[in-house]
Amino acid sequence: MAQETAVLVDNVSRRFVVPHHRAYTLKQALLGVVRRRGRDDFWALRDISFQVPAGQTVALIGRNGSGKSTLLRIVAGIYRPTKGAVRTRGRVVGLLELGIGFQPDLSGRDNIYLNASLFGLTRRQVSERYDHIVEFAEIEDFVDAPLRTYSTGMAARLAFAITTQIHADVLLVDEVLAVGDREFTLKCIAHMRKLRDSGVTIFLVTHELGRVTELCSRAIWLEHGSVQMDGPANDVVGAYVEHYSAPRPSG
Amino acid sequence: MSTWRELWEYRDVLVNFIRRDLKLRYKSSVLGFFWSMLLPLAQVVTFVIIFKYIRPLGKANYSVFLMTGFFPWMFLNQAVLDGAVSFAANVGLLKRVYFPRLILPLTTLGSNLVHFVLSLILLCGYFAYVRVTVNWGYLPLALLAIAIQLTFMFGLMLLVGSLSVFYSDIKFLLTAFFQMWMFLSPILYSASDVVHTSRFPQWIKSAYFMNPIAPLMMAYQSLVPLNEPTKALVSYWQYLGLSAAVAILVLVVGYVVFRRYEWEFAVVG
Repeated sequence: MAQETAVLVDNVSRRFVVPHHRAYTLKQALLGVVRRRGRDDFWALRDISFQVPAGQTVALIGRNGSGKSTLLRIVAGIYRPTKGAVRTRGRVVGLLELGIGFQPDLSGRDNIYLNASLFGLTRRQVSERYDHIVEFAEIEDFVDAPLRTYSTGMAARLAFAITTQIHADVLLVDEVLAVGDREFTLKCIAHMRKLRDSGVTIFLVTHELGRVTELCSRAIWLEHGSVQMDGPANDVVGAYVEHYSAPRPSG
Repeated sequence: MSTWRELWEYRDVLVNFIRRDLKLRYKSSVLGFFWSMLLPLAQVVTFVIIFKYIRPLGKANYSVFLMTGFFPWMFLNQAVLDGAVSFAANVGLLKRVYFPRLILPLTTLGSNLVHFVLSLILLCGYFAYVRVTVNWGYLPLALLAIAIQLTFMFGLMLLVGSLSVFYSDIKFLLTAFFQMWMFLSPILYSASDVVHTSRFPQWIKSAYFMNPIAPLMMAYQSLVPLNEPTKALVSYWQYLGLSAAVAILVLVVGYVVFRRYEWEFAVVG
């Protein structure tokens, strides 16, 4: 069976410019015209290429600063690659954080509409799923109260309940989803498994290696912005663990 | 995907953002609207006391005349100041989720436009209360002026909004600039006073009317009977044409600058 490609990452590099002195105000910029300012280029990603067939669940692993989140943001369309290109098929939804755009002074109801629309749901779709979201979040009695009166747990449940209603062909999930108590994490994982089984292509950035082998069939290991290894999740996680538990060569 | 088609697809985000801004501004209550009008109305009352009683300008229907220019000015002032932070204040959002960046200044323009329309309803009520009939013949001109003003405003918002991401003192500079701009535009007094004064040489008068919002304010004020400043200025239509040209130029420049930097917004903050 010929598999459609859901995500094609073609030779992507991303540079960030780190100026030595950045003018934060117009005044500083005007005063600083005569002063010569240097800058450093920092390549967060270099020549990344891979493709993901529709329906595959891929984990991105690597240490902090290896470029995982930058890559996820490029696929989500938040950053543009400096070189190369990303092509995606279908609706791509980035789940980089829960409760994006939540306003403490607005009611739970208003926040549901606001947050859901940022994940690509139309007002009508939200209205159709509204009862389900409220019930799932267990906030029936508080929907008209301002969000700031919610407990942390309630707000987190609400945020998660909205994400369960997202319709996506490609879902990009950052590790922030792992925050919360154990019960919450289990709920998240169960939901991701459901999405995976329904054929959604999932990109997962995580530090929890156990979750990688549990959920994902494939893993991509990033090291200093380059692909160190790309293959079946078990193999890549095994190599990754071995690499970091082995005594480091000194030097 | 073309920019406009993409904007259309994200229209629900725009609507939700505008509703959010208005609810936050009015604190989700009808009284909140009147509350938000308190400051501009206090200013109107102050100017009326000064220019009707202490130092009378000798204008008929002064309070109505003042509000007819002052409300559109407040609209411009507030929307551009809000627009100056429309990207800078939302960098956190821009880093976490993708939506067309143009949604943010459109939100600011939209919510301020709704507020402006509500304030016009209030103004109509005041017209009725003081029994001043509107010079309806000038309505087409006023609508043309509004179109020019919106073009000009959106261009300014794109320009200062984009630059504010990199230079945080832009809003501060703007506040000072707007203060001067209001007094040097025909808002508190009539443009005909400037036309008729003998204290200014002709070139200063010409420079005065090259201010792109001067012909716009004059168009609005002509809606008030016995106040037709557009008639006092011989080359009014040339100045209005210049104002329209400047508005379009500012929109083009603002859009180009926005397009040049929009992908840096999520990176810089």
